[in-house]
Amino acid sequence: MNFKIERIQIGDGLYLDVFREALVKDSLVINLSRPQFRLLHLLAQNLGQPVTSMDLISYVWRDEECIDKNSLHVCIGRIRRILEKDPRNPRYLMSLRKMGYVLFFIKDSHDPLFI
Amino acid sequence: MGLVFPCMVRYFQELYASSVVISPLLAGVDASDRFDPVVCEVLDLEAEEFAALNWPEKEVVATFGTLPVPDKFPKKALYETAAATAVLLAHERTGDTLVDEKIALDAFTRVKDFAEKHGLGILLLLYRAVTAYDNMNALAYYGKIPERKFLLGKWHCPWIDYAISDELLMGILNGYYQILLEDRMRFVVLTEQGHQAYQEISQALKDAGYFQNRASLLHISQFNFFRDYEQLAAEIWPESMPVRRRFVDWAGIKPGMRVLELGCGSGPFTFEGGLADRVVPEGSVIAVDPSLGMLARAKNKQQGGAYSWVELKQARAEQLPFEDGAFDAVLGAVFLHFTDHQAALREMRRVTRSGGIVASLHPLKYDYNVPFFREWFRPLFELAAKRNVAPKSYLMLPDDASNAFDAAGLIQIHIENFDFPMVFHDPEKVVRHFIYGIGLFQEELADLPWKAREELIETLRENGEKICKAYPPNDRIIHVPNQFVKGLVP
Repeated sequence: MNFKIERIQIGDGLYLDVFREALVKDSLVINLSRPQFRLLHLLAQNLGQPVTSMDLISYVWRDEECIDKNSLHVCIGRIRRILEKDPRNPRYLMSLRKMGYVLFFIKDSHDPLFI
Repeated sequence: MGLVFPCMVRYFQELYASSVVISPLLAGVDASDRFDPVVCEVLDLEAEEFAALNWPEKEVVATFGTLPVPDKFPKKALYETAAATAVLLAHERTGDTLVDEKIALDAFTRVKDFAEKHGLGILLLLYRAVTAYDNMNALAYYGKIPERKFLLGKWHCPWIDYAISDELLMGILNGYYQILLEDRMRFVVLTEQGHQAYQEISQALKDAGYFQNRASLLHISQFNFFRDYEQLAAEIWPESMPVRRRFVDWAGIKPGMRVLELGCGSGPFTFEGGLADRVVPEGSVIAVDPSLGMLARAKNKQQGGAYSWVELKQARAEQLPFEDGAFDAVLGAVFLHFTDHQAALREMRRVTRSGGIVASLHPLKYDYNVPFFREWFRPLFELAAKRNVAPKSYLMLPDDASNAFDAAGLIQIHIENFDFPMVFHDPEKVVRHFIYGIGLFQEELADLPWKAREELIETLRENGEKICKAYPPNDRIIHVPNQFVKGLVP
């Protein structure tokens, strides 16, 4: 039996398991909600490149016309709590004014305090 | 309670005085995110906490009586008001729209102080009045708006963070809006009663000076982003610099004087215009402007020339932070028509010593009825015609300034009138200069919902391209009357 495994590396020892819709850190599976996964998935596919809020909303919720920005902000906030050491001063999931959001490759993900 | 409530005008005055804004048009704010989610979270928590503590039964009864009130309405209203105020605060403090946690919290404190002083209910009534106007204005303009676009403010307030579902619900319960089905889609429309409420709230906001206040905030914020204002002005008004130099002489500015310059912008009068050079040795110039963005650009020039006797400061002409009689001369070039000129002149007189000079160089109202100009700006003339009024101009009539000098108690008033050419050769620059710089047709534009306004500015650019091809350069010149006025403090 073959399992389809698709991974997107987003940091040292840290990848997105697209099949399971989860985040995997040093073989440890961290489950994500569906919106959280989708948001991270789109950002991971564009690692280092900004993605607009509108693109994120329509990708995550499949229908941009009924989701307000607050829902996006809440989702970003939750992902930051998972990825960032100090979610109030994010270093990897950044907002860029007038451009949207960008995810950078996470360098210190082996830090035991992290995630 | 209807949208208009008792003592509304007074509460609006209090709102302006506290520098709290609800749903303003400000430069640099569009459909993209206003702040980082960290800032949103901070504001959200503050709003949630404050609403929970300050919305007791008796306040709800006093504010809305028997009307249904969605439970999250106070929180969302506080959030959106604080968010708008934060952008204004960023403009005031940094000349930009970057809002960090500190600015957001300071903005929330402004909102909180207002709500603690006057009651959360009053703030909510003001919020409801302003947002109902914005929503009704968009519905009146478009006729009908798809419900989902309406809820997210896509056509009229795309910067909001919360969908305006509470506003829609309350509006429907009040009989102002209804949902219309067309091709199995839901649209929001104004009811007959809604049209009437729209007229009433428009009039009430006008009486409360709301539109004037909003236009002035928009104007100042636009200057913050207008990085090449001076260069554009020099191209469009080729004689503006020699005129400034002549004005220094005409006004009677002499070496050794303590001079206050108002509306200095990026410093074309202060530095290139020769004002700072004139007062040396021993004299000094304080140059003020409400736009920090402009002042930052003026500062660059100051360092270049090492002008140690020039001080740059943020201030508005109508409210000068100086003592009575502090200056030998108070003057400015091309600023008076941007101000409430009567209030500005009272302040100018107040801070000038007895025997000192008060002077202004400003453009006057001119005739728009030139074929190429009418054709270029046709959409705006059409809008003005719809409102049944001539396009409003902030420019003054020949006697306005001298009358205001007189009313401010100045004596020995002198006037010199002259013309200088304004050339219309570059569509992009002309439109930017007119719309974002001198604020022509501001009232027509401010009445439009956000999306319509953006589209109209784009149309003006396209029109400009056509006009510049169709008319030879010499037919694209308007001679604009300008004026020097000076007076002495008795």
